[in-house]
Amino acid sequence: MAKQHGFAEGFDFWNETSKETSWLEVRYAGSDQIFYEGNYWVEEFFQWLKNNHKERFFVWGHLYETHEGSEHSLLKKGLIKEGELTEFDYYDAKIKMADEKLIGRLLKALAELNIIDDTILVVMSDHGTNLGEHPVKPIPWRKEDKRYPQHTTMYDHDLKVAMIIKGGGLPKGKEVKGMVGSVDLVPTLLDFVGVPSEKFDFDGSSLLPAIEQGEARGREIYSEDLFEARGKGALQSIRTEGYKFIRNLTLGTEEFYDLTKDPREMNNIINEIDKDKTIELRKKLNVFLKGSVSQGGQFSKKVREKIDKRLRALGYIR
Amino acid sequence: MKNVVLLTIDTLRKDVLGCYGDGGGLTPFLDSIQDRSIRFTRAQSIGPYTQASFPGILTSSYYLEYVVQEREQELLSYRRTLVSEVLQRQGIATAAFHSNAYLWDCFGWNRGWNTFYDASDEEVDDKAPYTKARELNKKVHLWLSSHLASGRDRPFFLWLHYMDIHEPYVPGRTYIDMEDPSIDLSEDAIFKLFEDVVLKRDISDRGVVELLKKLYRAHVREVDDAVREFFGMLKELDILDNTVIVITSDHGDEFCEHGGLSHDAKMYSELIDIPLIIFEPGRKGPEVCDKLVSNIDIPPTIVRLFGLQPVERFEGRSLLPPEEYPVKGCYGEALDIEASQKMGETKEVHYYRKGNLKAIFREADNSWELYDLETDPGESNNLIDTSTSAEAMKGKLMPRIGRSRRNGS
Repeated sequence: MAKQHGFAEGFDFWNETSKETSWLEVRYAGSDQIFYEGNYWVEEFFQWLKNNHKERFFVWGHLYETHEGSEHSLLKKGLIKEGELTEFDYYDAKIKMADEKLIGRLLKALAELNIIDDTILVVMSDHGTNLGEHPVKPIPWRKEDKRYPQHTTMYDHDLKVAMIIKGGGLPKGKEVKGMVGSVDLVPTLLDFVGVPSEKFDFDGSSLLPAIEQGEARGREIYSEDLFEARGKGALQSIRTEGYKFIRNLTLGTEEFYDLTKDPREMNNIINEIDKDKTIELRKKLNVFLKGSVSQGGQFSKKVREKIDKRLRALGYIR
Repeated sequence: MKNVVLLTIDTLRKDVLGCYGDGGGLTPFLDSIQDRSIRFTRAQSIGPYTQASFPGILTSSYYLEYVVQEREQELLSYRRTLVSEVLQRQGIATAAFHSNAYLWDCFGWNRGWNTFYDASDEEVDDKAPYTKARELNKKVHLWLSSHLASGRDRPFFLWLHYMDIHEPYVPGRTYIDMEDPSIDLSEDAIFKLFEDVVLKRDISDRGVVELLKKLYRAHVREVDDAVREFFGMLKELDILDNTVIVITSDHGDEFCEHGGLSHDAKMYSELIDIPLIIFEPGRKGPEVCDKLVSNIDIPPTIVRLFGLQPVERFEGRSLLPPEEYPVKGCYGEALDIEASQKMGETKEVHYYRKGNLKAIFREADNSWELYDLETDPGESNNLIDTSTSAEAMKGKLMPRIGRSRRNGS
């Protein structure tokens, strides 16, 4: 999410990981480029907040502490030891670290600056992680044969995220049931500050009505990972409260899980469901392969043939 | 100004337009709008074919900078920013209408467009595999009408790309007659010429090359009429007076000037010189700009026309106002597809132009060329061993050679 990829657009202040501040270097297979990940930016943030809290602000902060790799910094400091805990326990340790480093301190700081009642705070994650629940191949660019944590599937452990909103006149301790998506975040934030979002053609919609009603009814959430670099294939999925349908475009495979009976998504019953239902689900996923969503180069042999046919007629393939 | 249209005409040579000096009267309409246009007389394309050129026209970045070697070479890297993405984020309605298979949605060219038509879902003629300009105009008319009827008064950016001039050169009979009524060729005979002569790059019969050139010129006449129709549409919809129209092409076409046909990986003027005209309805009288400019400057110009801040990642400069445009050199680069296939490894072709000098480097045979375009517009007298500027010109290109292998996706 670096500036060079356009994420900094619209921000007055931008602080990102650099070679000097990162605690993780990643070199992807087949590339000379080194990516710097992970950065303890919390001190800079509190300094910024101190200087700028009198003006109206929007802050986005992204903690990397719970991501794979941050255990290096914990190991280095001797706070944890290698091979001592299970993957789940290491993950818990990292969540605890993130919670202590920022969340608790943030609430305290907002109260001290006397702006806690005027601030809407959203805590959420970009994705979950697979700690071994579903077997996956090792990541090709990792040196060692380490498989987990990894987040490359369409299963709930990778896609189900936390989303907690505080402030903005919302009731305390209310739970909103039903399916909502991270695409709904931006329209929700705009709704809070009174900016209509229709003209932006967002894929999500404001969650304020669902929050009021206490549930989001009958919604379907679409997810995708169409970039195939990790060798899993181009993935699409659709999830409702009752089921999940997953399609691998590269391999041509499909999965269907009845989440009421099988919440851990272990029993693929694609061959047991009605064929018409499968066709309907495929059509729903096809919509996302057209128009604004790029297939990212993962197109079928048939499409490639069609392209080549036209290029041949233009004299390009001789 | 409220709206901007980018009209790109595939394979349109600069020198066939009346306003650029052709005496044959092929482009009466384009010539007629010059009194409300600024015309760039020395515009260069950053590449001699579609894939090498369009990264400049729509993303203001050079082809080899992010070319994807390991997979489909046509893929548009996510490191490029399309001008449509910039404008869409600002709430400007964006629409694209084209039918060039190199620019299909599956390669990533659909990023940032509210409406994207690329004819990939449609059946097209097997032998002339594109949507004809008049048909595209109809689609644009539908879109424009519905956009205007939405009543939101939202400015739009429209990119319209005509393919008609591109080989296999099958112009309508009327236009063939206007060029040379003695041409007596059925459509099948034209396709046979395409297969036997153009595809084989067979230049042994100069008479046939001249015939192909006439067919090409007849097509230019036909496209000029399509442009006239498009302008008429904007006038009828009452938006011509608040729409700026940028007209250009992605590259030219060769008719044996350097021993070939069509547009291969060469860097000579018949392929690299492009027309570039900006029609501004409020303009009083014609303007001509002789500065050396490039199609990499088109996205920054469009952003500027909408009154937006410059985009950091765009490598070009706004062409407007022309007096602020710096005097500088131009680069272009391409993959030498034929040589790469023959030799089994990627070979590049590069040029650098400064003033009247152009240096060309061909990796396949490690050859350098240098031409003085003022005294030698046909680029036949190689000065690389005699010119005192040779080393300086080479020095400009050296660091760019091999970057397709260095960069990746």
